[in-house]
Amino acid sequence: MILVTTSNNLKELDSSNFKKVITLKYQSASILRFKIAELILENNADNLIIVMPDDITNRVWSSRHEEYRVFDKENSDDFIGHVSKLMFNQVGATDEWALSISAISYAINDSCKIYCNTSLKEKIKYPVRDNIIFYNELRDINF
Amino acid sequence: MKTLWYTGCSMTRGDEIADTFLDPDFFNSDIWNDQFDYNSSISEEGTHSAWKSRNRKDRRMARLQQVAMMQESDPLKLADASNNFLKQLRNKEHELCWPAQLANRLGYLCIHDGESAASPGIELYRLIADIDNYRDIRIIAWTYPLRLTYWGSNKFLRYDPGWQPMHVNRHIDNNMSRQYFDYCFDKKATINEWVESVIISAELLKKINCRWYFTFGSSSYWSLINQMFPNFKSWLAQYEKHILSYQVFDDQYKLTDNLTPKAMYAGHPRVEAHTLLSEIFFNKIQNDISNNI
Repeated sequence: MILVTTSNNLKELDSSNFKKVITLKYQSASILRFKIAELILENNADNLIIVMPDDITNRVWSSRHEEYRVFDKENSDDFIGHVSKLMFNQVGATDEWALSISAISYAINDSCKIYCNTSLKEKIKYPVRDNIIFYNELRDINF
Repeated sequence: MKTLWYTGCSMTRGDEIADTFLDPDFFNSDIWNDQFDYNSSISEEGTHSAWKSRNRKDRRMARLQQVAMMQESDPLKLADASNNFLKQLRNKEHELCWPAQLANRLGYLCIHDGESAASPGIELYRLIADIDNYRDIRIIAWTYPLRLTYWGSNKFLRYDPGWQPMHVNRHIDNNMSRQYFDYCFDKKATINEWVESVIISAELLKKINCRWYFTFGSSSYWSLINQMFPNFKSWLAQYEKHILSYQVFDDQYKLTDNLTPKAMYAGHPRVEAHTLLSEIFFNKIQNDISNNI
């Protein structure tokens, strides 16, 4: 089994039983979505355990750093702060999260599972498959 | 009635193809007079800025609005005439674009979910938003990999506030968007979005109950895509039977390279190309249906 999650999530997860752990720097469902697409392309997307990030953020490509970064209403990282804060839209970021969990749910094969915080259940507004497991606390997940 | 759903950009939804139906003198109008390149081969030289310039788009729209006004004798109804003309234009484009003609040949109802300037991300998002509706056939006509998707808070083209395309030619609405564009827009970003959207869509479509197809736009981008994602070609090979064309935009121009003008005024393919494409794709899909492929 391969665990795919963000560095923040990983701090509270017991990953000892995984063959491999793929950790994303930023809290973004759509960066995770891109990573899943990359794994599919590498034919490396079987037996994935995906733990979704909780944060509602927007993904943005940084041309200078050549990587995806995130912004939200509070935090713009290195990104030109005033622009990212002004561009941030809560409805848009929530939609990005919802589209991403739907995309991932359909893109992964039947050997994979997604873990999602119960508090975000109501934000799922697009169709998903029967491969999502809801949890209350990260540390309580028993893989 | 069986349904054919599609999404795509202006090349697929048929921008400009109804111009000569609503303005029969369009090809003879004086907007062509000072243009020197309408006989140059788009299939060989590409559209570049000569055909698809902002100037040509503006002049085309001015001509069509002028015709609409001239057809209205009541001065109090001039504004309505202009609006109605645009509605008629859109309706006619919906009737004549190749997915609609393909659906018509198959005896299916065409569900239009394409839009001018659509980005790969918008095409993916429209698919996700439509998953719960049963469609017999779904077609995604992948646009140029030169666009990014972002959440815009103002209306842009025919897009309401929400997910909107960001273009290489910077059709963006304000200074803030421009700074955002400068921060994030480059080849890697646009190819990333394109490849991600294609992969996610194919894996998604595999899991829902429908017949599905892709078309890809222009052959000129494949080398860059393969350079950035060396595995993409071999991954895509498993879906060979779902691919209607790897270079449909190039094909559209080739199909009318013998005509004058070779394309519509602002560079989109002529309606004849849509008709011919619908026939080619009909033969392939009809064969798939007959043989239960």
